[in-house]
Amino acid sequence: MIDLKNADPNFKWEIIKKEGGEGLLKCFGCSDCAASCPVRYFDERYNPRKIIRLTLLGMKNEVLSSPFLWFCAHCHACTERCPQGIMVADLINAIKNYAVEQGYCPEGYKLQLDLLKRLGRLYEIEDFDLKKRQRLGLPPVDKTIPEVAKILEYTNITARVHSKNAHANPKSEALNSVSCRTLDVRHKQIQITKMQNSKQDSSPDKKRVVE
Amino acid sequence: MRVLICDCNSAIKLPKLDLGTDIEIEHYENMCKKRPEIAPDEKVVIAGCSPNLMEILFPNINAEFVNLYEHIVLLGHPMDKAKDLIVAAVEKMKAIIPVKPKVFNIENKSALIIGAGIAGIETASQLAQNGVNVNLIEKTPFLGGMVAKLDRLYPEGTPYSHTLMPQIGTMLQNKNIEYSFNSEVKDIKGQVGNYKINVQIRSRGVIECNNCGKCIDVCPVEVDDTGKKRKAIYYVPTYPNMHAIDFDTCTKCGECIKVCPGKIELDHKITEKEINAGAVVVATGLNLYDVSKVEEYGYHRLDGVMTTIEFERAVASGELKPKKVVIIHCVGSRDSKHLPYCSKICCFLGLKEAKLIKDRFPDTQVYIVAMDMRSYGTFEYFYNKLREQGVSFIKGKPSEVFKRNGNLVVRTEDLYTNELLEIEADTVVLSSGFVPDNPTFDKLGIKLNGDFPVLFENAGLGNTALPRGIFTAGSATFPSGVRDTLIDARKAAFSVLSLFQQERIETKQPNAQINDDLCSVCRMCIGTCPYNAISIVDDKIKVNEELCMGCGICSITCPSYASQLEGFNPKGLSNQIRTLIKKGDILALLCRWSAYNATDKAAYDKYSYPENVKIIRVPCSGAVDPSHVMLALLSGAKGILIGGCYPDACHYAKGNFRAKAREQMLKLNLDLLGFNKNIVRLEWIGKDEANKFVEIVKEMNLAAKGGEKR
Repeated sequence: MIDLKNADPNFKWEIIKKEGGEGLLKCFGCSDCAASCPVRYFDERYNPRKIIRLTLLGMKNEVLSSPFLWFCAHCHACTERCPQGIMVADLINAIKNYAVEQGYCPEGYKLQLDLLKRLGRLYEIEDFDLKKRQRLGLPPVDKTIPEVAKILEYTNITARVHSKNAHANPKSEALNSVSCRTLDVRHKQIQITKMQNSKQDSSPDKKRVVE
Repeated sequence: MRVLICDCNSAIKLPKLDLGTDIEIEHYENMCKKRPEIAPDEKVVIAGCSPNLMEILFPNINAEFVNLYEHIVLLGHPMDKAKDLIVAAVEKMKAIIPVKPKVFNIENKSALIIGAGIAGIETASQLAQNGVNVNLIEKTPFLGGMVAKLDRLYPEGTPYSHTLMPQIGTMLQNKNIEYSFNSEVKDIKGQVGNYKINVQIRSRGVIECNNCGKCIDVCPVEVDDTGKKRKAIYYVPTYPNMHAIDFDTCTKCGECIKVCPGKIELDHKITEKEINAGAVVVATGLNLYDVSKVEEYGYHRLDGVMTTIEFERAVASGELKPKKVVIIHCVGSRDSKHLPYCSKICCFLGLKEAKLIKDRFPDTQVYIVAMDMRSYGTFEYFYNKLREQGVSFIKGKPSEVFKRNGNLVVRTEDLYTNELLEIEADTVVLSSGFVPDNPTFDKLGIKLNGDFPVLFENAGLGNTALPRGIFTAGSATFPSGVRDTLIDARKAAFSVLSLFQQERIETKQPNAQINDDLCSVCRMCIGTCPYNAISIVDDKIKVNEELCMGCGICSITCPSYASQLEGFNPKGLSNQIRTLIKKGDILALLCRWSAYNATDKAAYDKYSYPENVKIIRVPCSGAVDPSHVMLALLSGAKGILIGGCYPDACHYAKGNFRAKAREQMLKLNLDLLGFNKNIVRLEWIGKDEANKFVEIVKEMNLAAKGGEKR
């Protein structure tokens, strides 16, 4: 049962402030997103309409602690069909970002983050892979990309994910738009590349551009 | 000059004013009930409540309205402000040119009706019965429009002919109606009382006919006419009793000529005809929205997916006998990518098709998938009846329609159980929204709000937004059922009749006037006019009074003040600003169509803003000159707000863009002169955005440090 005694009336306004959360109040509950969702077709427990509805009702704990929030595959089928023009996938993203800020990041994501930090990619490259690439005539790749760790350090994402209450961390407050979104990370990545390039101009020995 | 003050049943308690010897002050208890007598050419100042209300009470006078009620009393500001406002209004009135009344003689008392659907037919017969000569033009070769395509009308379920044929019969009794079929409006000239309409008539092909129908048997071309098959030569059983050729599909093979006992001509001629009329009724009706744009439902792509009217015609003619039908509601309606509005009648159309199929074939399974069922009024009984007949209602919006094993599958979520749901069916009916059939709207100069005409400028129905002498009837106004259409058609006929009761109508719409002594023919006004109303005739600037809408943009643009709008001119505004603005004030120059209304709303919404905010009403944000802003700064204003309509909503097409350009230039100059350029703000404030207005003026009051130099 949904008990509105536990509802937080500010929850929806918090989500609206986030990037991607702007369209939340337009939802009139037609269920087109839920019917379009391919994830839902395989696992009925995931329902974007239900997530939006609970957010509108202010059921903060239910939404943020729900494991199904993280099921979204970002195929944007819902965004394509929503009659009210809500960017549903981005909205779910906004709720996810809020969940991470509030310390609700699932363990799997934390493990992925560790992988990223250690290797620079989610998939570990072994000698076997390199041999396979050689056979296909592809150039070899580095086993680790240390620049990614630098990016992650710059975005302070580790502290945000691992801390129980992200708001206590002053450094993270300054970077309020940092998120799991690849776009954001990519943006930072480009910035760092630029910074490095300008440094490298003074020392021409090291010429390596990260792309 | 007289200053007339409405005490509004002693709600406005004005202290005793002394405005000099040549100005009389008169108090009235309540102007809504007892109006003072004002001569048409007299200049007066009326102080009372909002000009939005006063203008309806006094439509034809020269007055500056001072808003004491909404700008002082409701906000709790001290009454001293009232004196400043009234004095400034008096100073303004001294400088303006009075508005010259425009007289339109109703020379021609015949009416043109565009569209011979049920709305056009009803309007024509109502007018003809009252002795008005009527010209009825119709795009297709037959009368009847959309209703003639239907099978039956609900909620009663009577055949369409029981409604349409008596209407046609009544209309045909009248001798004073002239019919033109296959004709469309090409262009229209003139004004109320004397319109000249150029009509393009395509030839019908069939010239003499005895309705034997032999031509239909031999015609080799088969066409799909919204769900029903017909030949390229065809007949609709309404009026006239003649066949017609559809020249878009006819191959001109000549088979029909061989069997015809009458006369058929196969060359497609287009002729033109001029019709004179005093009033025009637009009864162009509606069209279904093109549902092939809603790609996920597969119209045109999948067999068995059809629109409501196609389905109705196919079932009624016996061509289609479905076993399992899914009717999807709100296709394209209430959808930001398609039609943002609710078309109001498509829910009944969907219900009607369900009823039709249940009555014809009771064993057919019918599913209605709707996100909301809007069965207002008596239609609720109809909805109940359908549930009793076994129609299944599913709440939800289908995500897609696709084919599986030769069957159509509709995938949706049932909102009542929260489960995903798939329905296999042989026929899917898309109950789509409606769009107006509007090729004539822009030719007639009708202003549109989205797709449909704007009928009135405000909710109080004070000013009609339609051009004078032009009326709309039926679904051209908004999609409506047959009953509502008939009522609307009678209303349109009444409007035409009451117009024709008068010999001439007089209105006071302000026009721009050019003072030839001052004019140097620099042509700046020609480029700036949004309506192309200004042109050069005999080396002199002339204003076309029919095109001029009274925005005042030219009078501000003119470098030598030669162009002056009646009732509003730069000098008047300068006088007003000079007398009104004291040191530390904030001047708000607000567009009368949007931002000014927001101030009225602010008062009723119990907002409060500082009392040093002084509001002047201007015809358009584009009618504010940088020199006025400079004048206000010199008078000591510490902030100037120019409020206009949102970029796409300007009443005068592009006045707000002019304002934006001026603002940028002004800010450059202010910077050069050493002023803080942020004390001048141009903001888009909508009619209802009282909170935005209040926030802006409060912000300006706090931020501005006065108009002193840096």
